[in-house]
Amino acid sequence: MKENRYTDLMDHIHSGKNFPQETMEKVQQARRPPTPAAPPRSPRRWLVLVASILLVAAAAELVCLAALWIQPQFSQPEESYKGIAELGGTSFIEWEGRKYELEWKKPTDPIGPYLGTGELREREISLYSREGQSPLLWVAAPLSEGEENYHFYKFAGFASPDHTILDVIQLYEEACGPLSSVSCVQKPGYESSASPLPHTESQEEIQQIRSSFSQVYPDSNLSTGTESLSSDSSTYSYRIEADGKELVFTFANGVSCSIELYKGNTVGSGFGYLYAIPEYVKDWLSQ
Amino acid sequence: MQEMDSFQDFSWVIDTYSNMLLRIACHHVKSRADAEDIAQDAFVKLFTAQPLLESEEHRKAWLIRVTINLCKNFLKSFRRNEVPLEDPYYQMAEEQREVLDAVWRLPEKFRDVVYLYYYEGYTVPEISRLLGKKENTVASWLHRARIRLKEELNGGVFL
Repeated sequence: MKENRYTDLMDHIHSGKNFPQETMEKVQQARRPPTPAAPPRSPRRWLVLVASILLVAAAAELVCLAALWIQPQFSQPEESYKGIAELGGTSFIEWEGRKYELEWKKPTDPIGPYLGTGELREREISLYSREGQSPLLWVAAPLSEGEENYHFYKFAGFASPDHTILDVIQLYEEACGPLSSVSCVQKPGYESSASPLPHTESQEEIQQIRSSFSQVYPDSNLSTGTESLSSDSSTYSYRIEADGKELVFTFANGVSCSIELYKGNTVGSGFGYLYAIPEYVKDWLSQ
Repeated sequence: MQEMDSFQDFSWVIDTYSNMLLRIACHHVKSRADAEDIAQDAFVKLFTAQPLLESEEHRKAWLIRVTINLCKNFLKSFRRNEVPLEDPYYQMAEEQREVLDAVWRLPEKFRDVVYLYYYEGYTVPEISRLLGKKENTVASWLHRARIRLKEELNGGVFL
């Protein structure tokens, strides 16, 4: 198998003897002065061109009108998630020419596999709105293109109270790529006081993290880890060291999030959960 | 960096980078002839556009990026040639091809990252700048590519 190393195999691929010469010929062809411009088109051709453009424009207008008639429920762009309170309903926003579906689920609806029930929808955002507090944002999206290996990114962060849905989408798209649809979950009655995960649940999650981390990086030397609670008891952190790099897993408000500094990268992946923490979350955590 | 004007300059650039561009293109298109066309188009773009490049490293990065873009354009076009032509790769023994086939079956974005990281020796931050993607994304693609290759080759992948 040793001789099948990818890098060795790549050495087998090289350009042929004639490649440089052919390339030079192509370059010289491309650098030749352009041929003289064609004689001006006859007025009749211009008339046909203008008529075609007008026809296409009229057809496009008709299609737009038909679409509006079929889908009268499309709303104007929403400025803020706070404006949408009807649970179980669906609304649409339009942003930079793209339509997004906002699905406001009932509190009892399944909201994703990371909470144990329900099926993972493609590219999902769940947003928990809590009165007077920063909204808590969850984002999940499959990493793989196939249906198998249905990994997903999760990042948990705290958007500021004036973040709108559009901000959230923008943050998400910057981190994970374009969205096909957006689904939001508003869950009234969510625990209003910030509280860390119960100790036993945190312990279970820590064990999962350790176990999946060891599988992904079998050669790494994990330290035992230290646990700490922030002074206001709002976050619970677990720190481990792997090969001299520190990993911090922070559990806050019932969600876990992480910052990974392993091998100099700022993304942790390959865990039971895959974490991608945008910069603003790190800023928040470091405050 | 001075503009290239002389024949010697052109030839040096072509000699230096043709294998690299061909390998990148081979990660996207199935036919060697198409891969060579793409590599040549990248050189033509360099010599006709004469972009202002600060260093040799910058020129290399420019060529890589243009080649990847040309591959994407090519795959969207109708001139793709599905019939592989005779070349050293297709003369490899089947078990030798196993690793390359596995890499070439990866999603397009993973292939570039694997090549740039393992063959060209670029680091994750460098690849992220080269491809215009976040470091997180590149690291994740690389990691997922490794996992897929490991699964496909029953753990026997040597990168």
